[in-house]
This record gives sequence, structure tokens and C-alpha cells, in this order.
Amino acid sequence: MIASAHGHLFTTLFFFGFIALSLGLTWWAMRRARDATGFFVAGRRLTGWQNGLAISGDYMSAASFLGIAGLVSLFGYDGLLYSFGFIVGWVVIVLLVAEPLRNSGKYTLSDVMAFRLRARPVRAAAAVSSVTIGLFYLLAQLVGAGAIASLLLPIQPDTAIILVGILMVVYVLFGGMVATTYVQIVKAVLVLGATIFLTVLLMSRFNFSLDALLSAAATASGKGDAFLQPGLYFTNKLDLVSLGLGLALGTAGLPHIMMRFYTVPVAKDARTSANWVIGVVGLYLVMTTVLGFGAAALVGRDTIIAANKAGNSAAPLLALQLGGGSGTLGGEILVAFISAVTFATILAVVAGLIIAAATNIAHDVYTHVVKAGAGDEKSEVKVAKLATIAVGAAAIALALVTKSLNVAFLVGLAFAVAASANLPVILYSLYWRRFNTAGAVSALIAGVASAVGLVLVGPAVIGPKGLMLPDAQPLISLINPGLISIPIGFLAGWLGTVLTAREPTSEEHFTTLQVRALTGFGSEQSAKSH
Amino acid sequence: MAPGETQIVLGQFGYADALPVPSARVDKAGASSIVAEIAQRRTRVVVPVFLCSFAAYVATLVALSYFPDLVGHKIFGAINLAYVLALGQFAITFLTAFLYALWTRRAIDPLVADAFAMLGRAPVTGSVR
Repeated sequence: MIASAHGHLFTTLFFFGFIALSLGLTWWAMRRARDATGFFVAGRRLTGWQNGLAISGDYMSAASFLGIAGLVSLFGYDGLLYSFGFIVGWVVIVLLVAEPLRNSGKYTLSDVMAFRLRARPVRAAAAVSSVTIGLFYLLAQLVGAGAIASLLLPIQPDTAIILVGILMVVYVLFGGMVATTYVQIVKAVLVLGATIFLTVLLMSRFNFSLDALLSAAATASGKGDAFLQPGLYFTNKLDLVSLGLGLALGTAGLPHIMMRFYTVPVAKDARTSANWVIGVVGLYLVMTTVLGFGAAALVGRDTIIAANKAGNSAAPLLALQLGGGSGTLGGEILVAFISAVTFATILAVVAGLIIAAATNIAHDVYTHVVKAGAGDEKSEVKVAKLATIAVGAAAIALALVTKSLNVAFLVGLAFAVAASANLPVILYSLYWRRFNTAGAVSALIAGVASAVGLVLVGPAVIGPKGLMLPDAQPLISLINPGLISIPIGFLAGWLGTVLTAREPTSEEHFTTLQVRALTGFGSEQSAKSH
Repeated sequence: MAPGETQIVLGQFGYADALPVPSARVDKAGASSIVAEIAQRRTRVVVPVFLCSFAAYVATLVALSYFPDLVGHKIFGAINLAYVLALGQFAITFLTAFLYALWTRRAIDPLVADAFAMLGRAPVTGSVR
């Protein structure tokens, strides 16, 4: 732990303040989240900027706030790859996915695929990949919550995981997408504000000269110029390229991000949301890297590693330093505020993940696979609420047993599965007339299997640095599977299509889909005012 | 304007359905040729823009991994080419989104409104809250 008992009082105050505020929002949202459209997509009545801030909130996770700053503070330049990899993914979303997706779908990513393909097999396969992605991501956040809590708050990791788990279920169960969104927006403003404040404080120490900051960081790191060049963290060159591809192409296949585009009234607002994300998240990600260099310069490698080996404490330690140092009132208040904000961010991100997974289960699996499209909206919401409790309980239990897994590894895996399975099927569905059901199912299965399989035989699992068989040699040297699994996903989708018979209904519906995707004619409307 | 005709005012219908426009003639063939035009314009502009920005990203990744001496070249004080390339990715993403928004507003949105008119509907106008 890095703060004193005095500091914990402030942290606890800030923390309970946020919980009270978020529960208040949930109570207020209950009325608007009763029917299906209200529960799943906030009635499609959010404005572009509101949705943009909520998506930005998804990015301002503990993994980015603590993770990127920590990585940069210890390994210098290589930490930047995560930051610009995350932002480049938005080029795909803005240009190719956001607007057509909003126009053609209803609640989930699979809606676009099922519009023209045979619904049951496609939705079943897509649900497998989406729930897999959601679960990896959820585990990463919960495991992170445990690790961070023990670092910043006077509670045990297990207590933190259970507490976060219960709160996320409460937000979603009672407030649906409305509460999830407003909690996310409040948090996004808090995190962005805290990051700007810290960055300005930091830069004022260096007369607002980036050159001076980088020089000081390079000198303090003991590595000199190498600290400002790639190569200290990614020792395998192909791994850097592989991770970079996964990050940039995976974003457009993340169910919890993509379903947010259904919360706005029309495609134009989807475009506006995406532009907000690029502006806000871009600014935020650049600042987290600056904070990382600042921590390297002002806090120093030894102090950061002493608090947490992975460097996760770099940002809070920097806050302590910038506020006046350990034992000062300014330092303690600042570090307490940063700790509470970090915890708030985990709560909001997991709520967004769990509603996405619950929607996949209720809308895709229950209504369209089990009931073959005949289920009514009321029971769909009921199933979603049951799924929220079930997924929440499963995630808490899994997080308690997989505490030792590396957080960044789990997030990278989620992105790789999204890029290898979901992205090919979305792009083919929207832009390729010949595409058929066999192609979609092959791409989804091959994408999930290759991404997960390559990780299982790679150095993260097998070998001296892996989870098991320390004496064995990993079958491939790549930790990140994207470089191989993304082409496999696209290839499987293409082969599955051209090797099987043409599907006339799919090609007919492609014409209708094109009209709808490009113009919004016939797309889902937002709910009437209550 | 003849009596009985309804003038379409943008925003008039709020977030309600795309309401029928009493005076418009339904022209399905015209609408589908407009949709074809939208698809063509998007292919002509969006695909090359996407490929260029993605190529720039992959080139950056390759340069960072395989040309350490090149990216280590200092440009201003301690700021080297690697750092400029990283910031460049933010700039490219921002610029792409900005130009795309300008272009769609000018080249696509009017066509979408035309297609709606030919199908006898008023375009849905978005959030009014």
C-alpha cells in the first residue's frame, strides 16, 4: 500500500461519495430502463456526445490509467504502443462500421450478421465469440480490481473483487443501459479531469517543455536514450507487430463498445459519438504516456517497483509526489482522489461489459436461438436480468481463482479474439454480396479457436515464463496471436463462403441491408418520450 | 405551396418515426439508383482512405520493430522519430475522422435525404433532447 491511514480516510470518503452518486443515478434510471429498448439500449435516446463520453469511459479503464502509465514508467517507449494501438482502431470504426451498424442492427453485433444470414447458426456462433471476449475482458477488470484495491485501499483483493462484482450487478439489474451509461459518463469526466490536472501539474515542473521531461525521464531511468526508443518491453519484434494489429483491428469487434452505437437515434449521431471518442480518448491516451514519463523522472524506477512489480502504482505515486510528497496534506488528498477515481473506473467498465454479455445471452441465444425468434420483449428483459446475475456470479468466481493471471495478457487476448472472429464476419456481412452462413460460422469458429488455441500453445501458457509445464518449449514464440489468427479468421470466412453453395436469400437480403445500412431507411427507431 | 401540402421542416418530427410525406411521389427505382451512387462514392473515397491510414500504421509498427536506428534519430532535443511517429498516429486518426465527417456531410447526407424523399418518407432527424 502506498498511502497512510490518514490518506485512507480521504480515499474512503471519495469512494463512498462515488458509490452514493452512482446508486442515485441507478435509482433515477430505473424508470427509463423498464422495457426492452430502455434496458438494452437506453431507448436509443442518448445524444452523440453523451454516447461518445460513455464509450470514452470504456477506454479509461484501470488497465489504461494505471497500466499504460506503469508500462511507460518502467519500460519507456514500448508502453506507447498500447496507447496509439487503441486509437488507431477507431479509423476502422469511423470509416467502415459505426454508421452502417447503427442503421442495420437492433441490440447486438449479431443483428447485422443475422439480417441476411440464417439466424440460428450465426447467432449461436457469434454469441460464443462475444461471450468469450466479454468474459476475458471482465476477468481482466475484476482481477485488476483486486490487485489495485490491495494497493490503494485498506481492503483485501478478494473483498474488492466481490464488492465490485455485486455493485456491477446492481447497476445493470436495476438501471440497465441507462444507468450504465450515466455512471460511465460521470466517471469519464472524473478520470479526464484528474488526468488533465495531473498532466498540467507535472508539465509545470518542467516549464511545459516536453523535451525537458523526456530528457529527465531518460536520465532517471538509467537507460539513457534507449528508454525513449522501442525494444525494452517487446523483445520479440514480431510480437510488437502482432499486438499492434490485434489492438487496431480488435476494437471494431468488441461487443461492449459496438452495442453502444445502438443507444443513439440515428447514424449521424453514431458518427458524432465516434468523433467524440477520438478527440477525448486521444487526448487522454497521450496524457497517460506523459504521466508515465513523469513518474519515471520524478518518482523513479525503484520506488515504483517496490510498490508493485508490474508498475501499476506509477500514476498514484506520481500524484503523491506532485501533491507535495508523502505525509503532506496535498499529496494525500491527491493520491486519495486518484485511487477513488481508479476504483470508480473499474466499476463503470465492468457494468458495461456485463450488460453486453447479458444482451448477447438474452437477445441472441434466448430469443433467436432457443425461441427461434418467437420470444417476446418482456421475457427477453427477464432473461437478460437472470443472465446478469449468472454472468456476474460466474465472473466473480472465476476472478477469485484466476487472480494470478496477467491483466494485460487477458485484455490483449480479448482484442485478438474480437479481431479474428467478429471483425471478419461484420465486414463481410456489410460489404460482400456473396457471403453466406457457412462462411460466417467458419470465420467465427476458426477465429475464436485460432486466437485462443495459439495462446494456449504459446509462451504465456507453456514454458519457463508460462502458467504450466515450465520445462517444455512453447510451440510458437508469439505471446500475442493476432498476426496469425486475424488472417485465419478472414481466410476461413472467405473459404467457407466460396467452397459452399451460393445462398440466394443472403444475396437478396444483401440488397435490402445495403439500402438500410447506407441510408438508415427502415432502421430501428428511438423510443418515444416517456 | 398548394393547400393540403405539408412542408417538411428538419427536426419537425423529433425522434419519432420517419413519417409519410403526403405530397411526395414514391420513386423506388430512383431511390435504388441513389443507394448505388452512395455505395459507389463510399468505395471510391472511404476504401482508399482506410487503406492509406492502415498502411501508415503497419509501416509505423514495422519501423519501430525492425529499424531501431532510424526511429532513434533525434529530431528536437530528446524528442526522437519514434515519439513523432507515435504522435503521428493520433494525428492521422484525428485528421481522418475530421475529413470523413466533412466529406459525409457534403457528399453523402444530401443523397440520403434524397433517397428518403423518393421513398416517400421524411428523413429521421436525430436526437432532439
